[in-house]
Amino acid sequence: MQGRITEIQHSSVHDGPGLRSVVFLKGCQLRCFWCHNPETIESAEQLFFEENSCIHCGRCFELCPAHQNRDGKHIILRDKCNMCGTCVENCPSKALTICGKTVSGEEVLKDLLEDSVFYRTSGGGVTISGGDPGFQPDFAAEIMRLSQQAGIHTAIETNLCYSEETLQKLLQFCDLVMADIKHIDTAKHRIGTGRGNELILENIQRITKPLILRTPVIPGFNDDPETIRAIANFAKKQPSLLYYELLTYNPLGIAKAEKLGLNVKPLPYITPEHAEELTCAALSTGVKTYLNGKEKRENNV
Amino acid sequence: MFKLTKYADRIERLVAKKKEQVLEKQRKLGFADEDDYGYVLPPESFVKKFKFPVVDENGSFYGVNAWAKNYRALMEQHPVYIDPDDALAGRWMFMMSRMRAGYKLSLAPFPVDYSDLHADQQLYDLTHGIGKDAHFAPDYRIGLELGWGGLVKKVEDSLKIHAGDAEAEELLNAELDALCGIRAWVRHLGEAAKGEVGRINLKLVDNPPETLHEACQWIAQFNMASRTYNRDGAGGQLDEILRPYFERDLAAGKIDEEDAVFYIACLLLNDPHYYQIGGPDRYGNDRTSRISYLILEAANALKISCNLTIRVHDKMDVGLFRRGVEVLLENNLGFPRFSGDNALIKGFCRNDYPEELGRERIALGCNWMSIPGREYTLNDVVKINLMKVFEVAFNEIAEKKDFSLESLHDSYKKHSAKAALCIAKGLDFHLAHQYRNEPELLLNLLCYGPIEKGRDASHGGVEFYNMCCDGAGLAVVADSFAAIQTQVVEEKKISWEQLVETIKANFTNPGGEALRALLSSSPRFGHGGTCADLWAVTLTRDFCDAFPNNRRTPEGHLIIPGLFSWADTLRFGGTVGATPNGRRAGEPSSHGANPNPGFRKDGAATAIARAVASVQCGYGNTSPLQLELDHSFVNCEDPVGRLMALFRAHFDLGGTLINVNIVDARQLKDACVHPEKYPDLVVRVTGFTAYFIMLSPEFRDFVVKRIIA
Repeated sequence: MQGRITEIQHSSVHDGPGLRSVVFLKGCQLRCFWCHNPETIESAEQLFFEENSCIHCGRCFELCPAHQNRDGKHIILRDKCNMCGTCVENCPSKALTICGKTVSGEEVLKDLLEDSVFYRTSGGGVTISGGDPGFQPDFAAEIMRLSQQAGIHTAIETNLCYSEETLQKLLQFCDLVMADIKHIDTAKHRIGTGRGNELILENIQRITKPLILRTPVIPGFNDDPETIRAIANFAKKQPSLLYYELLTYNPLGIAKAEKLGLNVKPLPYITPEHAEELTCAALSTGVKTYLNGKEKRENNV
Repeated sequence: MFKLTKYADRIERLVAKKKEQVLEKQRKLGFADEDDYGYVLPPESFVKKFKFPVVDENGSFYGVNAWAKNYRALMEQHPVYIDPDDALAGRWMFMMSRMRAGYKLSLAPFPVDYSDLHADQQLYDLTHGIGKDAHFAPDYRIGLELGWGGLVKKVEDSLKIHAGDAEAEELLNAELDALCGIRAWVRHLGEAAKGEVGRINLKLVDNPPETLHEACQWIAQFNMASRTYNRDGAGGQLDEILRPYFERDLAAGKIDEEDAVFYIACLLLNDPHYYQIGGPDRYGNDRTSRISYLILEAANALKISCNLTIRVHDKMDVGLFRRGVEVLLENNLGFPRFSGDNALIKGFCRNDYPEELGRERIALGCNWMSIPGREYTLNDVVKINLMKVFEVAFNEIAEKKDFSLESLHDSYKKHSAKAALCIAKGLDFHLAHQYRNEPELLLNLLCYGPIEKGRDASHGGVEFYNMCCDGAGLAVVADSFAAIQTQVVEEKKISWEQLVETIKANFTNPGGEALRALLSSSPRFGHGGTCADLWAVTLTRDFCDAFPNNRRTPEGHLIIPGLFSWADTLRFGGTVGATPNGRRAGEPSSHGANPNPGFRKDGAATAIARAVASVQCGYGNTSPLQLELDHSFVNCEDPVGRLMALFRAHFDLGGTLINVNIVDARQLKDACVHPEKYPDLVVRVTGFTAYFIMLSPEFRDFVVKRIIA
C-alpha cells in the first residue's frame, strides 16, 4: 500500500515518549489558521521554494513561464504551475523541490527501522502525524501494523475529525493517541478550523487506548482561562486519559508557508505569564496537566 | 544533588578570580584556539629577569641535559602563587616546550635526518608527530606512594644499578635535576602558604601524602610541574586514586563529604586535566564509589571548564550515569563527557591484548585512551589529512585523464598507503631519537619502567608502544566521492572534465557556482542510507587498511588508527583546494568523525549518532561523536532519560566517546559578534572545552557554524 508523506523526522522528543520518528502524512481535514505544518494541509504535491538556497542561475526562468525574474527577485506564478517538475529537475541547488512524495508502507518501515536501537533504549517509537493520519487511514494503519510487527511502539497525533470507522482503523494498530481539542465551543471551533467539533468530541469518548488530549493555545482564539478550563473539564472525564497538555502557539509554520507561496501572518507569542495563567486554569479542574512537554503541578507552574 | 554550605563563599571567590585570570590572559596573550589549561600569567618582573641557563645561539635548547638544567632553574625560581581561599597552593605559569625561540628539530644535537620523509609529509599534509611530547598517561599512584623524596631515592637507587650505562646515567641524572627543581618549588610553596596548606606543602617536599587533602595537593603539584615541563594534561582514574584517602579520612572523622568536595574542587580548578570516573575494574566489575559522585559534584560546584569523562559500561552504576547527564544539562558547560566501554575494549582486544588490559585503558585526553604508566602513544599528535590525500588522488586521475570512480578510489587507496607508510617511518624515527631531543622527565617518574630501566618512555622505558594515528576530514572525502558518484557517474549532470575544470577554478569559472550548488546538493554522510554513508564506512576501512604490515611500523611498533581532527580543522582546510562536495578552497575540514554541518534537514541526533558509530576504526582508539544539541531538544519531559538513551544507543552501535554541547542558538550567534558580553560562556570545542571569548574570531565563526548548522 502506498501513501503520501512530506517527510520522516527522526529524533523527535516532542511527539510522544522517548526518542521517536515522526511520519508526516500529507492531507488534513481541518484548515486551522495557525497551522505550524502548512505543507501538510493539502494532499496534493506542492512546489516548495527555498529562497535562501537559490543561486539565481536563471535555468528555471528559461524553462517555465511560472518562474519570473522581477528586479532580481525570483517570483513564482503559482497559478501557472502545473507541477510538471521540470524546474525541480533542473534546479542545481535544490532550492526548488516537490513537497510530498508517494511511498509504500515497507519503504517507511525501512526508514523507521534505522532508529530501532534508539526506540529500544528510550522507550520511543513511531508517531504518525501530519496533516492527519485520519486523512489516509489505511496507509497510517499499514505503517503502524508493520511497525508493531517489528516491535516498534506506535502513536498518532490526530484531530479526530472523521468517522468512527476511520477511528477504529487507526486504533487497531495504535498504542497511544495524542488528540487535539482546539475549542470546546463548536461554533468557535468552526471559525478557527473550518469544521465543528462534534465528531471530535464523540470520537474522544470512543477511545480506549492510552490518550493524551492537547490544546494548541492560539492568541485570540482559545487563550482564555474559561475556555481552557472547559476543555480540561471535558478531558478529565475521559477514562483512558494519561494527561492534558497545553501547547503554546509557535510561528514555525510561517517560514514554511512562505516557501509554498502562502501569505500567513504571524500571531503574537503567548507570554510565559499567560501560559501560567492558563495552566492554572487547567489544573484547577484537577486534571493532570502538561505545558509544552513538561508536567506542571500547582507548586511548579 | 550536593549543596555546599561552609565552602560556598570560598568557591565563589575562587571562580570569580579564575574568570578574571581568563580575561587577563585574553587581554595579554590574545586568542588561543585550545584548552584553557588553568595556568595564570607570571609576574612581569619575573619574565624580565629569568633566563634559561642552557640555550643555543638561537635562544632554543635541545637534549637531555639542557631540558633538565633549564627545568630545574625554572622550578627553583618559579613564582609562588598562593590564594588564601584555595585549599591547594600553586598555579603553573610557563610551558617550557613553548619557550624555545627558533626551535627547529633539525637543529637538535643528534644526527637527525628524516629528509627522506619530507616530500611525502608535505605532499599529504601529515602531522607526523616527530619531536612531539607528552600525550600518554602517568599513574599518579606511583608518586602518591613514594612522594617526591621517595622518587628521588628510587632514581638514585637506579642510578647505582645502571652505573656505566651512559644512556641511563644521562637520563637518571636529568631526573634528579628535575626532582631537585620541583622540591625547591614545593618548599617555596610551603614557606609562602599559611597554616594547614603551608604545613602540607612542607611535608610533601620529602614525604608522601597521607590524607585526601595532601593527596589532592600532591596531584596538583605533579600536574603543575608536568604542565610546566611539556604541557602534559593526562590525569587518571580519579575516583579510584583518591578513594583510599577519602575513605580513611572519613572513617577517622578527619573530614566530612563537603571537605572532600572542596579539596577536589580546588584540584579541578587548579587545572582542567582529563580524568575518568566510573567504569569497570580490570575484571569488569563497576568501581563507582561515593567519591565518584563527589568528584562530579565538585565540578558541578565550580561550573568552569572541566574535562571529566564517565565510562559507560554494562554493569555500571546507572545513578552516576544519570547524575552525569543531569550535570551536563544543568550547566551547559560541555561536561562530563561519556565513553563507551564495550567498543573500546572489543577494539583494543583486536590488537591481541587481553580484556583486562583493555579495561585499564581509560579516557585521559581530548579524544584518547591510555593505560596509565604503562603505555607510550603520541596520542592526538599524529594525523593524516584525508582531504589532502584525496586531492592528490583526484589530481592524479585528472592529469592522466583516467576518469572513473574506481580509478579515483584506487588512486586514493594507493596514496593513503603512501601517507600511512610515511607516518609509520616517522614514528620509528621518533621512537629512535626523541629521547635525545626531549626526554619525558616528568611522565617517566610516574611510569612503570623508565626509572627502573634507565630508559626514557619514548625509548623502551615502558611496557607498551601503541602508536596513534588519526584521520582528519573524513566527511569531506566521503561527500566528495558521493557527489562524483551521484552527479558525474550516475546522473551524468556533470562531465569529469567539467568537474576537474571547476574544482581547479575553485568554482569561480563561468557556471562554477551552479555546479557548486549541484555538487553541494548531493547525498551527504550522516543522512543515513545514502551512498555518502557507504563511502564513509568504506573510507574508514581504507584508512585502517592503509597502514603497512598489519598496522605495524617497519620496526614493528603497533599503530592504532582513529578519526579525529582536534582543533586543527582550519589548518587542515587551509592546505586543501576546492573539493567535489562543493567545499571551496581553504574552507575548514569536517570536524573529527562528524558529518559536515547541514548533513540532514532535521539535524537528527539519532542520525549523527548512527553515522559516527558507523565510522569507528575498531582497534581501541576513538572516532568521537561531537553532539551539538539545541535547547529545544532538552526542553521536554525527562530530557535526562532521553539523553541517556541516546548515548546508550550510540555505544550499543559501537560508539566510543561522546562530547556534547547544549546550545542556545541565538545566544551563540550573539556571542560570535559580542564575545565580551559572555565571559562565562564555555563550549566544548572538541575533546577540550574553552572559554568562547578566548577563541580567535575565525575559530569562533567555525565553531558557531558547526554547532548551529
